[in-house]
Amino acid sequence: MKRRICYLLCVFCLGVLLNSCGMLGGPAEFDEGLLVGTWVVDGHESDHWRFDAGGKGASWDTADDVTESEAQAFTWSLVGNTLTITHRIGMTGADAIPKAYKMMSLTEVSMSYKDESTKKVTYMTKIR
Amino acid sequence: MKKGLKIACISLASLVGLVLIVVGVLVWVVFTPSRLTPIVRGVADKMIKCEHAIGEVELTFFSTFPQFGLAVDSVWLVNAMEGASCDTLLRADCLRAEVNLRKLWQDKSIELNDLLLEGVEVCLYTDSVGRSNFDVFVTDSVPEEADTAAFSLPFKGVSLEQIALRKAKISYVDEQNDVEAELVDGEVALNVKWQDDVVKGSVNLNVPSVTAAMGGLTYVDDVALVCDVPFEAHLDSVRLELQKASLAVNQFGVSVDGRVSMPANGDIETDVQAEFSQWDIQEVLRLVPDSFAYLLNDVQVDSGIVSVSAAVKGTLNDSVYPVVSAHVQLENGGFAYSALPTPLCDVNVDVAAYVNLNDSLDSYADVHQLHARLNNTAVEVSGRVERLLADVEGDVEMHADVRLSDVLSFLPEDLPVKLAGKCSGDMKAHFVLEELLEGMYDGLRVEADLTTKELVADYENWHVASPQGKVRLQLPNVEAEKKCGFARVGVELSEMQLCDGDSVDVEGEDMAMVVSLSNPLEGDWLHAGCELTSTSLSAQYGTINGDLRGANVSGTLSLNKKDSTEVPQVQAQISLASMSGGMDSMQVSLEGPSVSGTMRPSLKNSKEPVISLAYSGGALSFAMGESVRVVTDSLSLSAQTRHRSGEENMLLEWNPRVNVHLKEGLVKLAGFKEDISIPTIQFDYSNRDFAIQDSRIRLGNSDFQLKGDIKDIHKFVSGQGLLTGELDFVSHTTDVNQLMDLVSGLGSTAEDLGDSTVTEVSTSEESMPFIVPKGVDLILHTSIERALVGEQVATNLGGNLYVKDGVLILEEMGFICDAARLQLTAMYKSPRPNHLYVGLDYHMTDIQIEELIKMIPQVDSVLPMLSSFRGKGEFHLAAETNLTRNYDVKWSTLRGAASIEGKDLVLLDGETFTQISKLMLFKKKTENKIDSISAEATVFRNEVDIFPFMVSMDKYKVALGGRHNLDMTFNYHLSLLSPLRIGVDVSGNFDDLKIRPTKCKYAEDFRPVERKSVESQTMSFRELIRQSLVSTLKKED
Repeated sequence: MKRRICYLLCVFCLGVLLNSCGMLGGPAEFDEGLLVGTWVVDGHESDHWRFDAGGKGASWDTADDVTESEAQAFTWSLVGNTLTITHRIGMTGADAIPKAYKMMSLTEVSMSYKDESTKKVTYMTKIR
Repeated sequence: MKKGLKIACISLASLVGLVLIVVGVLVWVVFTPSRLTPIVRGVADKMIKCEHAIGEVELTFFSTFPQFGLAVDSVWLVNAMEGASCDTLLRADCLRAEVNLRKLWQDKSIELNDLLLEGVEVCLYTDSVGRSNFDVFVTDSVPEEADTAAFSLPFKGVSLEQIALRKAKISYVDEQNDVEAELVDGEVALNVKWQDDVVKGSVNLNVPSVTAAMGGLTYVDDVALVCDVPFEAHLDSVRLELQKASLAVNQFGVSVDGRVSMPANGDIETDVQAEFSQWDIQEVLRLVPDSFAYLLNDVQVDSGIVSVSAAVKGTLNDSVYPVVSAHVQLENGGFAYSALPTPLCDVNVDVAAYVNLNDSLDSYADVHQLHARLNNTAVEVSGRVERLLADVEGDVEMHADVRLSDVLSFLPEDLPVKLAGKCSGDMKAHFVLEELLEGMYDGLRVEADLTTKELVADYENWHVASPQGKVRLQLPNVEAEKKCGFARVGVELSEMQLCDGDSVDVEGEDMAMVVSLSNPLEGDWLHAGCELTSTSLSAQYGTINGDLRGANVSGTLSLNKKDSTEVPQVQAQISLASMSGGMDSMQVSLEGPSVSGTMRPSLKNSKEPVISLAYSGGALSFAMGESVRVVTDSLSLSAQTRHRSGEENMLLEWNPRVNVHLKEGLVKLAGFKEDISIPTIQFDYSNRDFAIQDSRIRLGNSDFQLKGDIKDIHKFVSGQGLLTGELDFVSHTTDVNQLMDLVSGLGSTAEDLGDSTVTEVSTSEESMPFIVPKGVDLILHTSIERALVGEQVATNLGGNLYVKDGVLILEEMGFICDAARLQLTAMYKSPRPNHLYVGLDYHMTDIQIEELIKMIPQVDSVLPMLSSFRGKGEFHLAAETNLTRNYDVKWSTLRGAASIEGKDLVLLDGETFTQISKLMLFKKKTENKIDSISAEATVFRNEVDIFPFMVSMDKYKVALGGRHNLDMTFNYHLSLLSPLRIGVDVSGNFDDLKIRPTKCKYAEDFRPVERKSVESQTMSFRELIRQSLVSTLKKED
């Protein structure tokens, strides 16, 4: 038991030291241009997300018989590895529901981000 | 004496002997055949140019006593001619003539008592160029001068007592005129007494066989001809008189009396009567030669005795004709005519005719009797027909007894019709035949009274029966106005039954119908009127049945015959003492209904109808089985429509204007515990304005009233504008609890309600949701003074409901109750059935939180920790989502924000908080009361994010926040900020709760950020509503 506690303390101290010295580096930078496009959620391909250039976008789920023209708008920003999506109400443009995610990976065809509050990682594939 | 007598006798004997001696000398010595014959032959040679032969000529006395006579034993004239049937022109076996010598000596008059030819054979022939074989007498070659002297006999008189031909055979052929005639074994006798320009005599002809043909057609073929014609001819006045002259062809004899004269002016004066009687028509028709038999191919005469008496009297010249009168009688006639399916029998005719060719208006026929029978149908006609030679005009009376089964024979055999019964009656008619033939019936006058008995008619499955009826026909109709003055048909039926198999059954009693008509064949318009009354009329059609009492129907119709596209003018009134009827389980009864209606062409376009209808009635009862029952005290309705072609929409096409006024209606529904009372409904409808003056409904403890106007319906349905309207919905009391109790289970299946025996569903999966109409701008002002909701009494409930071009909006619908003050603004859109939109802006202030959860249980799903608090607070919710056609939430579209604020809230002993309090080592004496709580949450899809808020209790300050999913899993973080700093993550669900100590996420000096998410949502939502309203305003502009 003591040994386990010692290991934990060592790891804790190492983490604190590394973090304080910036050894782990700052947050990763992602090219937001790669985000522009239409994505579907892996495992739930009817769930579409369209990230437009300029920080606007819309989401719709064809499984709920919603078409792209009926999609609901949001605004987005990608700063560092933080992806912020603010959903709007009634397509009127009023910001209402902010959501923040940690971008895990972003390529030309795929991305993944993590909801810090639930630790849930979402994987997406770009379809166009 | 004796001596004298003796002397006388001796003298007489001597005289006779002397005479006899003289005669004997004359006959046998002086005028012997050997002396006479050459004299006669010599004369003949001079007079006859054809070959001829005369036998021995003998003077006779004793055989012709007391007259002398000449006897020639044979005479031959032979004149051969090509084409003639024989060379012999004349052959007579014997020729004998008697001459009264005393008359000739004393009076110088010739009395030829007897000229007899026996065994005569004459062959007369005229060829095609007009040469005749009987042109055999020598004529002077010098033309005769015109004889201008009056004709006079060289003797004082000529008496020809008898000229007779016996055993004569005469044939006559005229090829130029195509005439052939032949008499065989003819006996001809001509008696003539000619004295002082007066010729009296007679002609007797008895020919057993006469045949005559002309133009290739045989007119007489082997008929016997018998004539006995006594006559008296006055040569000075050129007058011929006949007295009881008879002429018979076979057994058909005609007697003729009268005289014919030719005065000096050249006219012919006639006064002749002819009569024959009891001719058997069958026998007469046998005289019709075969060449004319085809004319009678369609007629078969079975019997008939005809008698005719006729008279011809008057002057005949180039311009004047004598008048003819005739009386014709036919008895027991029987005829079959191909056009008649059944022979006519018992034909009796008695007709007297008067024909005046000089005056076309002065000819007539009196039909004393015209009777005929066809099977069991008899017709008898009498009357007078005038102006036979011009416009025949008749006045006739007819009596008919018709067996309707006889009418069947006039119908096509393949027509599936059965008729039975009798129809009898009298008819008077006045007509002008030419007008009838030309289809002009205005001058026709008819009065007919017919009665029917045991009338039965069947056509396919149709069956009509009436035990007794009357039909009255009048032409013209003097009882109607002028335009329907052509005909009047009245029908009275004591009983009537009409059925079509089992599908249609109509029965009526004491029915009377009068139809008035204009002349259907004249004029441009057909006018008709109809009146119908019946004490009882019941009808059944399939599952539909009706029973009318005291029906009184009247109507008129005017129809443009030349333009069938022009709308007819119709006017009708219907009044009933009562009416009841039903269909399947539906039953309706009306007391004293009265309907009047008109239809006329539009003034602008005669092809477009304008229809008016008015209904008023007393009590009305309607029932649909045991499920629905409607009763009203009175109902009045008036409607007018003006049709306009070319419009696709029915409202624009018919342009209805309707006024409805209903009083004291009562509706009972089986599923409803309470009756629906309708004190009044009154509205006026037109395509421009639907004005509801009043409509009130009472349902249990609730009452409703709707008033207002809906305008511009015509613009709406034509797509040219918005449907605008403003209505006031007012209720003094609305018992929501009772209403919900009443409607609970309506529309659900029995299975839904727990009855597994019934599986039928009430709504299909593809049922249409409520689609908000577009092009509509309606405002409903609601005002409910008192509403009972649960145990709450809501007062002053009011707000506006907008239906605005596809958007339905509830604007600030608010009310006050004991638990809270509420206000709701909502929006509903239906862009397509499976993609509906709902937006809510819901505020509850001064509400008990536990009451909030009771009222809106869904709140517990969004903020589950609320169930741990008790006290007053405020709740605000703004949300939007799309729905499926079945109103299921499309979770991917759910967006929302909620906030709740509370003060002096009591913390309950919830299980979750108990565990947390144990973990946090709360003091048990600590009052479970917190000063305030202010929590905000957002909803995205099925994720509810609770923004960090702080709860202060005792020495503890706890900040908490996290994610709560609508599947009731969650992931919260609680940071104890005072007195210790320790964090706890709570995750999982209530059945599998995971609590883990962790690092505090929130700083010690944590202050909740007022995010105003709800306000943002609300403002966003209001903006959306405003845009919707403004957009329609723009569109309307």
